[in-house]
Formats: sequence, C-alpha cells, structure tokens
Amino acid sequence: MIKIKIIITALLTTFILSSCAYEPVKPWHRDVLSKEMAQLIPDPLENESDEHIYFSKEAAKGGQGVGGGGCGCN
Amino acid sequence: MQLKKSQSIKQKLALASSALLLATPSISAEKKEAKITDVDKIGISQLYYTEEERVTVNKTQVLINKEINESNLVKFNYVYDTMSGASPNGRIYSVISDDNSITYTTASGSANTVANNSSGEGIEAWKTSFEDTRKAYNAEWEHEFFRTFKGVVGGGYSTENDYESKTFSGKFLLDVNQRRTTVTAGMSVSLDTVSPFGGVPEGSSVLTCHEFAAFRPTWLECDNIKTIFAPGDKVVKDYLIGVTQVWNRRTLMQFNFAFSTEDGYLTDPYKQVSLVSSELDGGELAVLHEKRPDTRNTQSLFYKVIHVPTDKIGLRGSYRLYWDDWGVIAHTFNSHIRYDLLSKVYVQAHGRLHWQGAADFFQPYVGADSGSLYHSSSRPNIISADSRLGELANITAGIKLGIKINKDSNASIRIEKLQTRYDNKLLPQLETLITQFNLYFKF
Repeated sequence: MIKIKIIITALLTTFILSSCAYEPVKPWHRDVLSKEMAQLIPDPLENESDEHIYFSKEAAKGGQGVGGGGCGCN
Repeated sequence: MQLKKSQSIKQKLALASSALLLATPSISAEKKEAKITDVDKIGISQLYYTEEERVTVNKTQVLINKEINESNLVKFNYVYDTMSGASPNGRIYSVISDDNSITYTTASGSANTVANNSSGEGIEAWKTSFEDTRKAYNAEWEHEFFRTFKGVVGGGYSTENDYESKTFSGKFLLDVNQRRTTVTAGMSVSLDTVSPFGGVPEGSSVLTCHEFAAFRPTWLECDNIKTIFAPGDKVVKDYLIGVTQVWNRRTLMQFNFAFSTEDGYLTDPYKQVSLVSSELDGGELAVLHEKRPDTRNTQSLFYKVIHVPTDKIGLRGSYRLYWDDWGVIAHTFNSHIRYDLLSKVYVQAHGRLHWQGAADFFQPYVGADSGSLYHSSSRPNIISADSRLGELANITAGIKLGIKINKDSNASIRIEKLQTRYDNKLLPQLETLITQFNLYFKF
C-alpha cells in the first residue's frame, strides 16, 4: 500500500509540475524540446519491449500508436 | 527627427539580426539532435524477463533507421524471443479452501503438457519441459509530402511455433499552428492465426472428466468430448486519432483516442476452467475449455505530458483510460523521471501503476452444486478463468542508467521489478524481474 502511495504521489507530482501556462513557442525556441529527454518516445527499443510485456499480461492495450503485430501471448 | 527615426530603424534591424544570429544555433541544435535521435541509427537490445517460478523470456531486438533522402526515411525492426517456463491455465487442481495452489500448463508450442496432471508433480515438470520462440519483423516507410505533412506505411510479420501474425499499418501526420500542433490519424489491420498443438478446442467443451459420476451435473457431457478442430483466425483493426501540442518552451502534450475491433477466434486454446463440487470439498469434477466472445470492441483515451523543468531534469508522465465491451475497464499511469548526473551520464526512475476490472465472463471456476459460488445450471456459453481477464493490479518500479559513449552512440541498462496482485485469491502475488541493455549508434 505504501508503494502504491509513493507511485501515485510521484505521478501526480509529474502532472502538477507540467501544468504550466500555455505560451506560443516559436520554432527557434524549441531547443529544450529537441533534447532526447523531451521526445515522446526517447528509447524505441525500451518502448517496444514494454508494450509487448504489458500486452501479454493485461487485458488493456494500445493508446500510443497503431500496429506492432499480434502474438500468441494474449 | 528624420535622423532619429532612421537610427531607430537601424537599431531595430540590428536587434533583429542579433536575434536571428542567436536563434540560429537553436535551430541547428534542434536539427542535430533530431538527427541523432531518428535517422541513420542502429539500435541493439537484449532483454531478460523472468517471473518467479514461471516464465523466462530472452529477447534480442535490432532496429535500423535509415534516411534515404530529405523526404524519405525507412525503419526496420527485428525481434527474436525465446520463452520457457509455464503460466497458469486457469484450472484448479486441489481443494480450494485448503490450498492456494494452481495448475500450470506448458507455454504454446510444446506438446508436453501438465494440464492433466492433477497431483501437482507437473509444477516440477514444466521447468524443463517447454521452449518456444518468436520472430517478428517490422518495416516502416516515412515520406514527407511537404514540410508540414508526412505519411507512414508499414508492415509486420511475426511467427511462433503455433501462431502467425501479419500486420499492415498507415498513418498521416499534419503540422499546423506554426508547427506547434501535430494532428495524427492512423490505422492498422492484423491477420492472426493460432494453430495450437492438439487443434483448437470447441469453446467451453469438456476437456476431461474425473471419476465421481454421481456428483456430475446433468449438462456435463463426459461421453462426448470434442477437442480437435481447424486453426483459429482473427482480424484485429486498430484506429487512432491524436494531437500533439507544444504547450510552452519546456512542455509537450499528447492526446490520443484509439479504438479497435477484433473478430474471429479470440479464445485462448490453452486456458481451462475447473468444474468443482462441494461434495468433494471444492475438488475438481471435470475440466472445461474456456470460451470468449467472437468479437471485441475496445476504446482508449491516452494523455502524455513531457516537461523539462531544468536542463538536467526531464519528466514524462502518461495516463490511459481503457474500456471494452467485454466489461474490462483499466487505468494505467506511467511516469519517468530523468536526471542528468553528468554531461554524459543520466539516471532515470520509472514508476507504472495499472489497475483493471474483470471481464464480465471471468470466473475462477464453475460450481457444480446449486447454491454454490459460481454455480451454473447449464454448460457455460462464455467463460474464462484466465487471470489476465480478472481484476488485477500491476505495479512497476525501476531504474535506468544511461551513458553517452561519444557524440554518435549511447548505451543504457535498466532494472525493473513488476509486481502483479490478483483479486483471485487462488493466485499468489507474482514478482517479475526485467533487465534490459540497449545500445544505439549512428552509421
């Protein structure tokens, strides 16, 4: 239960920190968002592995993209 | 006055020139960073996945991204999995009230099954008795029609000893609002075939009947056991529309709505359900094959936010709400927090929390006696005791260490622990260890 609380707190902190004001960003001000850490999927190998693991263990799937192929794991 | 105005224009021009000069490195940095991230890149990965006393998976993956020219990019992805171990088949082999034990079946692809072993010895047998492999190939071609409009088409093929999948996909990405907003629309079609050892069983038919004929319900057809049929086919269509929005200089957001339709053989041919009797203190009278509906419609809403509060810290969080017409509702939170320790070294913490409710037709067993829990007065039409369709929570915590080897290559290693808690008390809590090593380099 404590673990769950810690994870929820971390997740909520992430969301709260990100809820900053909207500001129209010019193309030449996107240096920060061009960093690897700011990519939607910074590590495609890790992302593919995670998608496959959780697809095989849970009833829910998808949300991030389409395709990827089926498997006999679920 | 005229002179003053002229100076003012000069000043403005000078300021504009300075701004442009200052801006130029940023644009260059953006392009340079994008190149390292996306194109002319090879990625190699080795993953080791092990469930406590169950399944072990070794996964090797290779990706190649190659820019053909300024408008065309191709991506290849190859996966080779080896799997061994066992997973719960849904069946109960002993007295429910006294023993939380469950039976295990060998993974797909093995002819040696312990499904009929009700003594528990099979739990030892599965450890050495099965092995399956999966090979998956994916290719994508990305074409830029013009600066703000791209199309992507792809295809995939994966094969296991008893399973084959062919996938075709396509999507469009349109940049609007001075490229602050990207609108995405995509779809994919998967054509899958399952050919299990022993054939595809008739759904909810009897696999085996034990003795104790006196306690059998009238609907149990022990003299008419059917098991062998043709391979099962299914068609899965996925659709997605989404918007990615640059929120401010340090924040990016993504909203997706996805839905899918599945038609065909959606049952797991290896999953079973026990018919139990209170006359036997909850012991097993017979074993049935599971049966799921032939169609499934799923929907999900997905929200992701990326925030870079300082140059050394990157936060990535997402939430997915999933629901389908099988009655499953799921909430999934996912979060990564990255901290750049040094210019070439970073650490990243990962937390994931998934909770799902049970499918309408999930039940851990069938009660043979009227008045008993999960009693059925006729042969169940739709039924599954697959724990993955039951209520469960998955909690993941992990850490990753990344190193930039030089300007063209980087490596990382992550270790994560996944804990699965089932609402079904017959299933013990499951601990899984995930270790992955990744290497990327340019060519």
